[in-house]
Amino acid sequence: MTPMPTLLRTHELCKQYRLGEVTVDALRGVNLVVMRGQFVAIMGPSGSGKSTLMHLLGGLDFATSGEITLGEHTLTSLNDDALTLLRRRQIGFVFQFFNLLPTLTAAENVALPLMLDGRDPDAYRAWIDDLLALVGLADRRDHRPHQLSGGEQQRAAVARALVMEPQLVLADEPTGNLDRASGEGILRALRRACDEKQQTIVMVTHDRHAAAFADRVIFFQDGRIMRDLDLSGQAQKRSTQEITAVTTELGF
Amino acid sequence: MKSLNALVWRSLIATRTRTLLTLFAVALGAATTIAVSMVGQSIRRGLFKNQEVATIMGGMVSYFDPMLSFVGLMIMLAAAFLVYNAFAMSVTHRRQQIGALRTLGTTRAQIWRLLLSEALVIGLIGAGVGLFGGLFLGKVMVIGMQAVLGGMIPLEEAPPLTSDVFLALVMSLSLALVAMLFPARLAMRLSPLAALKAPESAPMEKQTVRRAKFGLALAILLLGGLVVAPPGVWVKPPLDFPLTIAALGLWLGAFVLLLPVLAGMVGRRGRRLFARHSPGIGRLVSDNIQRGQRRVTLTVFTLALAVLVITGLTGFIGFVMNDLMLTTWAGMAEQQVFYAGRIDVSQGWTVILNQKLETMMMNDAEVDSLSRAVEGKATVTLMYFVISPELSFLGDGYFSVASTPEALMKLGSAFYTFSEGDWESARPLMEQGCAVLITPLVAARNGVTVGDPLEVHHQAGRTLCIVAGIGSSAAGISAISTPHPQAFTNTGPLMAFIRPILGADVDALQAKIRAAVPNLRTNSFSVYMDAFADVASMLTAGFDGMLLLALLAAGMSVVNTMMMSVVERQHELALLRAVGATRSQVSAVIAGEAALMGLIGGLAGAIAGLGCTVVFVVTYGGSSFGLQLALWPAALHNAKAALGVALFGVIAAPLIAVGAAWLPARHILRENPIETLAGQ
Ligand SMILES: Nc1ncnc2c1ncn2[C@@H]1O[C@H](COP(=O)(O)OP(=O)(O)O)[C@@H](O)[C@H]1O
Ligand SMILES: [Mg+2]
Repeated sequence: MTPMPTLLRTHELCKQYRLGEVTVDALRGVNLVVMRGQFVAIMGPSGSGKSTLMHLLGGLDFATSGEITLGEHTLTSLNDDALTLLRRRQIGFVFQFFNLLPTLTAAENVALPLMLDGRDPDAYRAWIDDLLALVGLADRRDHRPHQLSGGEQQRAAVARALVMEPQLVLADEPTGNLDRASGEGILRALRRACDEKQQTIVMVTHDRHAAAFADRVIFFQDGRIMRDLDLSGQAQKRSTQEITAVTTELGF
Repeated sequence: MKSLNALVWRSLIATRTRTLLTLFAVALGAATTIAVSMVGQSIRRGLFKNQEVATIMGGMVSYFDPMLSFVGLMIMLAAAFLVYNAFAMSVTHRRQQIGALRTLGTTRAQIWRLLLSEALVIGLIGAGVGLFGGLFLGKVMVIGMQAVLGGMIPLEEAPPLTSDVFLALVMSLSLALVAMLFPARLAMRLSPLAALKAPESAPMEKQTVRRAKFGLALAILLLGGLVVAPPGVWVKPPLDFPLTIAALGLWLGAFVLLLPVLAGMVGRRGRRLFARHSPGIGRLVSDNIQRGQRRVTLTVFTLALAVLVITGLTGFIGFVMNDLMLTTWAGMAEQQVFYAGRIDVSQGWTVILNQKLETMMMNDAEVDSLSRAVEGKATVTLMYFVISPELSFLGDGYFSVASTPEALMKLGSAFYTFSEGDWESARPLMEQGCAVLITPLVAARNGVTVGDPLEVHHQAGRTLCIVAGIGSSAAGISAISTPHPQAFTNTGPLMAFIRPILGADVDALQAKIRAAVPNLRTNSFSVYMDAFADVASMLTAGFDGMLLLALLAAGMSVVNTMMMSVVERQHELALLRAVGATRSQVSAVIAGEAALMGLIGGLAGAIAGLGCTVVFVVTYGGSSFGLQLALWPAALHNAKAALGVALFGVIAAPLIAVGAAWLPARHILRENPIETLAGQ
């Protein structure tokens, strides 16, 4: 197997939240290397720092110490505007809740990063339709979020995360709120982005079946990486079993 | 109940900014009322400084009082609106919190008490702050007005009327309670479930659209009616005033009904336009205008109201001063009548007030020399000064004059124009003893018409007179025709109106008088009219200045709604940031929204304000003054005169709105997007 180039690297990443007198150590020295085109799942108990890690990786928040590099950029040394631009062009986000702007249609929501980038969305119509088709929303393009089901909204959010063809897609419990079938649609769309476009996916999930879509599962506890499980080349069923074994062992 | 009180305090402190805003609103209402009262008192004290002259000056106060009351009322109105707005926002904002309390078993009565206690606390503190703020503001305003108006109108610093202070305090307190009543009722009716749901962006309600259609029909019917049959032509006092209020009410009603839909329409129509210019931001801005109808309407309405008031007031003062007051003097100016007397009106009132009454009256020797000086070149009409409540044109302290029938008839049409009767029919009445020539306003107030008896109270007692004519007189003054004018007053004549014969050299005549009687001043009426016009424009400026307070109140109110709008959507804004919107792009969305609302409000207010001017002029007309005016031309030229202020409003409103948005925008942008997103 040819070694893939590194896309994302963190070095001794720490994050403390200060709540008055109390400080919470959400991340305690995370060292992580993610290759280009890899699909990484992150699992761990609630409060273990998964979301915090995602926020730092996506440049939504600032680390207390340590370093993050994405391609040739050192995130931890960029200012807000540079980070914003990076986020807009190189990183796609899918959150658990509230992913869409209620006043925009599905297609407009997908086109939002393009519009923010000052591009004319009409010029990208075909591309947006392709993306909507990819996530199975071809016939919903002009619907507003309140006319879509939770699963459909989340798929629109996935399409939006992909619209700028970012190198990195970050998804924080994207299926956490959905039923099995809706969840699978999203996971398949992410998997395809990874397989067909060499995009890198980092996804937080509580669901073993969801994690089994990944090439690699990182187990998190108390702000640290506890285990790094390689699933590449394995059948899905086998993966699920291995994940179950590790979670049982770690006592999640 | 201790715990509930604790909850009130905690909620007030937790929402510090909004509490402060509401408090400021209440305080501003009280403070401006007190300040305006102080200005009024200072003007009064200045005018009455000289007790002897006080009677003469009563008329001047009559000019100010209605205007001061009007300004005070407007400011109170703006403050009431602001307080209501603040409370409505605070309740809407806390729907979820209230819903949560309800699910936890808080009864409706407890919610009710909670909110009203909150209002009471804010009302009490606000009234207290307003009292001291008002005393300070009043002092500043008096000093400012002394600096600007010093020569024309004397001001002497005076405390506010106790009744006004009382009114301000009671009003701000009850205002806070009443303003909270409606939102509290809303909150009480919230089902725990409904309250827990996020506020939805409801589409435009059908009802609103139906109301707007009604409003449009109302506006068209009203304006159509005013074009076809201007009421100002036929309406007579005492009907004129209520009719004008009714017409203005209809106009404003139509405006209120139309506004929400207009705002929504601009949002909808604007979307495509904005989307073309700026695909991301423009779309979001216009979308945000279309939803949150209540919030948008409230903001737009607040700004519109402020612009409406300053525009409408400018038009109103312009009409009253120029078309009504000055027109009554047109005859004097045209026939080159001039004034001779010891006081020099053109130098302003301050000079006059430094004189003693007897030094202002002409003595017999002066009258003799005057008559001899103009012999054959002009007629002389001596006017005695009478204060009579029955005859007073404005209020009950406005001055009237008394003179002999012959003298009045010499002045004739320069001074008085009949709308009922004429000089021929009036002559026998005027010569039989005491007769009065009055304006329709005075006639209506006494319920008399030509030929009716009217008992006149004056400085020297009372006299039964007969109404000899109804019509327009210079400055609205009522004239008493009597063989013994000095019997109505205990002094000599105050002034002489000199009417030159045709072709006389007026300047030479005036010079001759001044040479023959060095004590006397002479002023052409055109000079007097210029001075009056100056006072009018200064007054307008002064009132506009005070009304800036109304704009300030509007600005505060907009800060409140913008705050609400930003807080309500903080998840959306954070999401925008997460998907790559820069801080400046998010600011642009907020500022764009504010500017658009400001523009809509400013334009709507300007149109409504200009409309108020037109409706007022065309409905009120000049009948109270006994004038036959060309109503539509007068309406249009006064609207044109108010256009400058209206344009100022159109420009200022978006600026105020953007300024008001700055505070909440800064607040939201300072925060990390993720803290907001994670906050669910
Ligand atoms: N904004 C914040 N302020 C304070 N503490 C926080 C904040 N966000 C997260 N934390 C704390 O940091 C730890 C990690 O949180 P998070 O990354 O959200 O965990 P996870 O996503 O794995 O459930 C938790 O203990 C949480 O309470
Ligand atoms: Mg999480």
